[in-house]
Amino acid sequence: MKNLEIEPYLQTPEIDFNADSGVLLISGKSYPADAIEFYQPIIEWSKEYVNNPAKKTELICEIEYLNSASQKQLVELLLTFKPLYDAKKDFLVRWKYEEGDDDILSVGELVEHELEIPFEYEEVTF
Amino acid sequence: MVVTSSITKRKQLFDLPIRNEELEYWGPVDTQFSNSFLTMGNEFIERYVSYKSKVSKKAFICLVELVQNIAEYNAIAFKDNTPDAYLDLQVKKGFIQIRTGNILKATDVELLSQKFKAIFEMNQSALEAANKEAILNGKSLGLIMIRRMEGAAIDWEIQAKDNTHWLVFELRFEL
Repeated sequence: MKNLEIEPYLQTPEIDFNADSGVLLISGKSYPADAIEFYQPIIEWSKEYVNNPAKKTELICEIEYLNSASQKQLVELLLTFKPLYDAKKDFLVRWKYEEGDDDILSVGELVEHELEIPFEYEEVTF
Repeated sequence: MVVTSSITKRKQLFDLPIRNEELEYWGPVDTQFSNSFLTMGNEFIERYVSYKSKVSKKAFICLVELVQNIAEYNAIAFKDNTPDAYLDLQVKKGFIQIRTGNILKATDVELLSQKFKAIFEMNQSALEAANKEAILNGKSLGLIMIRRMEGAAIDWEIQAKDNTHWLVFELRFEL
């Protein structure tokens, strides 16, 4: 399976999904007007990935800005990985948020609670 | 200096007034314009708020939601005949202020008024429940995000003038 790499742009984050290592990185600002257009190819890639995942999968979300449209798409993206955890595969979401950014932290906590997938949190500086 | 020069160029491109500490626009707001305005707004806040703060980040996210809501509403309600709207972002000593105004179709006023009242009059527990529901399943997440912003003074109203209905927002964040 090909890796998925998207360069960051003004309102969209860097995507670096490595199918071999299982390290999947989303990093930067995410506030596109059309979040579906941006996230749909990533969701499609992820649906294919979960059928043949690496030994360990680590989804790193390192988001500086998140608009409402991106939040919804990110939840949909996280949902695609739930089958991995349900099948007892080694899977973790590493949720990195800017120091003091309670809004992004609370999105992670809500999603962790509702989707019942494992999260680890880390404060970072952008 | 690069950022300042970039802001000045873009203001000239869109005929925006070149004043320090204020980014103001009057004209059609569609998706393409909202993208440009928000990119400019992001640079503007970073340029004029001398330190990166939680407050400036919250203000910017509210600006994103308000401007993208206007562009999205215009695309649905008015299709290619995009009406004029007003956008204003001020970064003054001690506060950030955002003001927006956009035209509503008369047929949408009652429904939108009810929806906005419901969100802005919710108590804390109802708001948290609505936020959860919106993130996982529903609509209106942008408005709920604005309503949940701590430390923001938020005013909104629907004004009628000359048979035209305006949705007006004013948000103020103390730095």
